[in-house]
Parts: sequence; structure tokens; C-alpha cells
Amino acid sequence: MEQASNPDREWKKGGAELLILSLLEQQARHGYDICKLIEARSGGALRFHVTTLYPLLYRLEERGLVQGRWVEKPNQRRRRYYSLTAEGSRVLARQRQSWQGFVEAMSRVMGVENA
Amino acid sequence: MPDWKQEIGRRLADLRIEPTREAAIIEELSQHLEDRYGELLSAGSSESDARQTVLEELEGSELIAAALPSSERRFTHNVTPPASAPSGNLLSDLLRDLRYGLRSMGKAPAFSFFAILTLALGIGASTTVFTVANTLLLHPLPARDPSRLVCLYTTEVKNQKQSGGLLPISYLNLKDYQAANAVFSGLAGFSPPLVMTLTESTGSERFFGQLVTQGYFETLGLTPAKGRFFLPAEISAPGSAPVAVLSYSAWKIRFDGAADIIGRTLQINGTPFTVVGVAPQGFLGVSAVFGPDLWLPATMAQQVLPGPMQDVLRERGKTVLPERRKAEARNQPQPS
Repeated sequence: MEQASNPDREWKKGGAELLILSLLEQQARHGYDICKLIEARSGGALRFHVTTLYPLLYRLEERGLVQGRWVEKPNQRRRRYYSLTAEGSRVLARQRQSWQGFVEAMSRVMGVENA
Repeated sequence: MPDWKQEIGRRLADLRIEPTREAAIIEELSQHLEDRYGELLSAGSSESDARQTVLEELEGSELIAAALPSSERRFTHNVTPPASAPSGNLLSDLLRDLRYGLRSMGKAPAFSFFAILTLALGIGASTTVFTVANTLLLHPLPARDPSRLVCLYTTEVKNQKQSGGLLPISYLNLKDYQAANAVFSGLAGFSPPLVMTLTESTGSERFFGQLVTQGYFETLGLTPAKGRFFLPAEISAPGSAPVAVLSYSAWKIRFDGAADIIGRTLQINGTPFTVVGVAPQGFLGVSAVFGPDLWLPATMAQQVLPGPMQDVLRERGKTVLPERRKAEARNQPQPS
């Protein structure tokens, strides 16, 4: 039971954070890029606005899970790119595991009920 | 293209974010809004619709400040709400403004402390300067003709200093000057205010007394507020008469303006003195800033002065501290 309750709590607490950390796993991205990716990959079901995304980013940055850095590229305005830190990678791994446990637990319950 | 920086800056203005961080946030968010605005235009929205949509998505910007660490916020508590419009009731508005001011001070106690301290020091300094200017310039010596008064000092021939080496004149020398005076219409001397003890049945208290020579009040052209000044017979020979003249403020404050003050006996430094008069209101002696509570005849020096100073009436080279002489010139003063 304990194992079943932990993934649920973790997911409720950090679902949005998990999305952001996942998108930053492969490469650094700026805020608008993160928003568009979440919207696109969720098929429009999930959408972050400026006032929901950036508070999350600032909290993650304060906790040391991501790091923001201004980047200037030729012929482009400078933008703030966020990348995953080492601690962010460890937290992402734990949250992924919790999420998978949560989904499996839900599936088992739903499978029993369906049966 | 709407000015997104201005829109964001206006929304963040009251959130008290540290200025450098605020500028970075405004830049970052304005880029996001520009991208979002462009996206909406590309999707077929009109400029006004796109602008409206972006502004709606900007609602809730206070969450940004809440997400920042305290080090990036100038104040972690709620800011003081802005004052509302006047209600029309003067007293009500005054009380509300007073409460608003107190709340504002409470939210910035260190600033309030130094602001109040600065004001207090400034007011204190201004008051002091005005008091001195008022005393010296606006209320000069309440003598009959102050412009005809001069101060006389003596100097040591063998010990001249750059400052002039002005010294007070001893009692015996003054007596000689008075006897040989052919220049001034009057010549009188006085000591600085001296600390004395007034003893009564209820206890003792500190009093400031000044010893004056014959003709002191007359030379200054004063008229007593009550009673009289010293008679020549009372101030002619050592120990001649234990009489005193009270200052107006001492009479009013210390003795509650008693109508029977004349004739009352005061124990000054253990010697009984009879009050014969009260000086005119506002007269503080010739020092203008600090005056005595009463005046005594210089001839009573031996009765009221401490031991080492009791022979000032007999020794030509001895004075009561920096004793000065005040005289009214018969003709126009001649500084040289």
C-alpha cells in the first residue's frame, strides 16, 4: 500500500515539474520553446501560459534543478535558456520512476475493476 | 507590436522585486509574449484579438514574485496598500492618512528611525540657532540705551597675548576707576552667575546668584518690576547689608509670583538675605543667554563665596572668576 501511495503523492506534487524536467533532459530550451513542446506533445491537452510556466522555472532554478543562462546567438536576440543540472537529472529519474509506478498501480486497479 | 515590456513592468511594479532581477524577468517574459503574439497572428487572429489574448494569459503575474527567493524580493511581506481617494470628511481623511502613515512607518522601521532622527537633529539645530539669534540679535540687552554701553577689561603688561589677553578687573581696581572716572556716566561691575544654595524648611536647592557692585542696575537704566534695587548704603562697605534682588522668572516660577515676596528672608549659602526687589521681566543680566536667579551686593562676597574667594574685596589682584565691568559711556564709546 505504501508503495502505491508514494507514486500518487509524488505525481500530484510534481507533475508539472516532471514535464519541464523531461523536456530539458536532452537539450537546453527557452521558456516559449518549453510551452510549445508541452502543448504539441500533449496534442493540445496541456497548455502552459507565461504566468504558470515561469514561476515553475524560477522555483526549479532556486532549488538547483535547472539553470537559466542568457545566450546570444548571431543575428538573434539574446534569450534565456534553461538546462538540467546534475541534481535535476537525479530528481527527474526519481520522478519518472514514481510516475511509472503510479501508472502501473492505476492500471492494475482499473484492470481488476474492469475484470 | 504592443509594448510588452511596459505591460509586464506595470504588472510587476507593485511586487517589490529586486530591480536587476525585475529587468531580467521583464526581458524574458516580453520575448515570450512577442512569440505568443506572433503565433496568434500567424494563426489568423487580428492584432487586437491577439493582443487581448496575450494580455489575458498574463493575468496572475503576482505568482512570479511568489516564486522568487526572498533575496530577489525587496520586501517579503505585503506592501502597504495605496491610499484611496478623499472621502470629503476632513477629520476622517486625516485619521485615515495618519493610520496609513503609521502603517508605512511600521513596514520600514529602520528607514523611519533614521528619518525621525534626522528630523529631530535638524529641528534641534535650527531651534538652537534661532534661540541664540533671537537672544543676541532680536532681543538685545534690556538696558536703557544698549548702544552706549561698553565693556572694560584689563590686560597684563608683561604678558600680552595675541588675543589681547583680556582679564577681568578686580573689585579694588574698579573702586579706583569709579573714583577717578571722568569719562563714563556710570561704572559698575558684576561677577558671572555663581552656584549658591538656597535653604528652606522644605530642603535645599541650587540657585544661581550674581554679585554686583554699586550702581549696577542704575547704570543699565533698569526699573524694578517690584520693590527696589540696592541702596548706596547697602552696597558701600563689606558686609554692609544682606539684601537681594530676585530675577523676574525666579519670582514667578520658584516663588509662584508671591505678592509678599518683598521683605521675605532667603537663606543663601547659610546667610539670611532679605528680598528688596524683583528685576524687570526679561532681564537675564548682561550675558543675555544665561542669567542668575538673584543678585546680591558685591560687598556680601565674604558671606556667600567659598573660602578661597572670600578676599576678593581686599586683594587687588584677585577676581571672582572672569569678572567683567560694564559701563555706560558719557560720550560716544571710544573703542581705542
